[in-house]
Amino acid sequence: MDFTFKPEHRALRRMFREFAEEELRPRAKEVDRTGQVLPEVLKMMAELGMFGLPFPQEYGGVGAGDTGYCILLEELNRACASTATIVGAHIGIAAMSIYLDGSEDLKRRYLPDLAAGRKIGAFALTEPNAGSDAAGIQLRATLEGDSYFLDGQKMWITNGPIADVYAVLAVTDASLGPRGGHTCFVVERGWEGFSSARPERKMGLHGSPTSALSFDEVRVPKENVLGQVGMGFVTFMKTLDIGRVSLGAATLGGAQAALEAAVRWARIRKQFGRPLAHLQAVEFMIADMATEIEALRSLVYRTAWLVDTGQPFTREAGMCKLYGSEVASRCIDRALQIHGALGLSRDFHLERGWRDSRITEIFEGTNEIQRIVIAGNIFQEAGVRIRP
Amino acid sequence: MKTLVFLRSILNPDAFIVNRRTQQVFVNREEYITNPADRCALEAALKIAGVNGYETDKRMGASSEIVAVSAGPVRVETGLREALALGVRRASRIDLDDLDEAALARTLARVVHLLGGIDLVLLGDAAPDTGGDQVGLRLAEELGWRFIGNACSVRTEMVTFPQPGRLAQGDDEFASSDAGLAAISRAEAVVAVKYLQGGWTEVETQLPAVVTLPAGAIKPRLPGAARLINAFKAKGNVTVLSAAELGLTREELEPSVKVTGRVFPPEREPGRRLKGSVEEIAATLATILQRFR
Repeated sequence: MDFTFKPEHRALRRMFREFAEEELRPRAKEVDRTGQVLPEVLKMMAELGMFGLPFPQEYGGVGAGDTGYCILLEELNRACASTATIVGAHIGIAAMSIYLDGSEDLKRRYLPDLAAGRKIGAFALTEPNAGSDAAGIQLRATLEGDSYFLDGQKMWITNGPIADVYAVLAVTDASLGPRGGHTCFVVERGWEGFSSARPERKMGLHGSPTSALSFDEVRVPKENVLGQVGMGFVTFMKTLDIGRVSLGAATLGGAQAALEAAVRWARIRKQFGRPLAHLQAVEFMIADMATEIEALRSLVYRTAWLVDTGQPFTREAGMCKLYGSEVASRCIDRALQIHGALGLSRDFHLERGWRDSRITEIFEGTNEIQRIVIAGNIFQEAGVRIRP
Repeated sequence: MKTLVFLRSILNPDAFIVNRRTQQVFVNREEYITNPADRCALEAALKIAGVNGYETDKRMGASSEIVAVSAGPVRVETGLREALALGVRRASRIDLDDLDEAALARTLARVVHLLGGIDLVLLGDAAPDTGGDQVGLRLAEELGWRFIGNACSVRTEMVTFPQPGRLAQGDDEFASSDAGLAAISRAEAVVAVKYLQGGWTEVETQLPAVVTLPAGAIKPRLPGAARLINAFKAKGNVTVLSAAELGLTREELEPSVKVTGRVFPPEREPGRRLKGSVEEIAATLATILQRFR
């Protein structure tokens, strides 16, 4: 057993930390207020190679593996959750789906631009009538000649308003159901009939733009089928597994930032004649936060190790997302409590963290869905199949 | 143009705490970083070499080469690999630890001779862990080179240097004669801007020279992730120099100053607020001040 990070991963973390502390943290409040991550900041990140971190260098990536990618999201999310979410959706699910199941042609055509940050990616699964019930999507793809025609709606698509490349799941044969009847396509912004709606107004993650997408008989050439026809649902579920590990890493960064803020405040704030740190009620909260964060850290990086060493990780990925989002929300809530009324002030980072964290219990599969995935995986191992 | 940058590895100031009450330093984690002032020196070297972003290798000609050097155990190679990722051509680790500043300057002078062709040495003005700020000046002395301290920006350019004698005395007739033109020599010089309180001064000196920069002088750039990974995964990209290779004797490495003990500064006493009328406060203040006479 060896729990140490490789020297190159430690070097990456130092670089990410310095970037996040110098470029992201000072802008985080502004990003929240204006609802925009500045394009020049995204450009800096692209130049540092952040947009292609887990992909091999032959596709223009960095080759830092899932561990490197988790370190990136942890460090970015420590400073600015909106920026981390843009990167997470871009790498973890959009570009990742092309990398995992795309043909060599698709990878050569799209990955270098995505990895260099010249193009932004989005992953389009959710629809007005299909959220947790991902198999219930209705966006239809009809084959005519050498092209498919996509018609329908997507909703709540992270990076929807800013992306150039979309991985889209559509129904190619409704009679076959999700396994066999759903196919994944790569669609580009600018293709006729495609449009993204105005950014949604959300409670948190103001700088991470989310929108609906509309497909009005968008012609997609056959070569842009991602993976095999009829296997799109499998590709998407596989991609989400990777996304969930890195989402766990992101929540780890948010929880860690909250703990650090709570410790700083508990050291300087005096009540009843001594710092809060000497009050048992506060000590207990700090101890609980630190314990949960440590457990989460072990879970996330062990799962990243499973990914990098090619072992099954679906169950652990669900746990990363489930536990991570709940730990982060709890830690930020406790840190806010320790700060008292000050925690609610917009001049502080905690109220933003609290708002930003809530969505992590919902997106990339609600926590209820994660519990179903985990339980299903456990029962399957015990020889019981609880889902069709 | 060949520049040597000296990088010192220091314990991360965030990784330890000083406890006055127990008179102890608690190291929470063994984490080392490159001395911020030395990182500024590296940035200055990269700027001079015209290293731009991630196109380093293509842009940097052989005429503008940077060599990074550190002294210490294997762990200091971390900083050297980061320098390689930033575009430094060569990195060398001097396999000697715990050298005092005189010995370090002597050692670096040997490295400059051994590597050859170096005409500019850049380094931070001090190391915050030891407080040592003599290496740059001592190195210039060892090499017999010119020295500029406290530089906040550094560039090189071709400068006309009048030879001593009639030309320097402002003899215009001589200056326009053939003999006068022959006496003018053009040489590459290093030009540094030094910030002073309320202004700045620009100084220049002929190469070869040693220049030191304070921490915070220039914002150091970050290495790209791919280059960083490659610099760490590559084997044998850091050469190791031993005392024997540098021709250093035991006597030359002997510390010239011995640390006999370390003490914590005394605890500061809380201040006192004087009360009363202006006259009363002035009188009390005068009594207090008299005690310090």
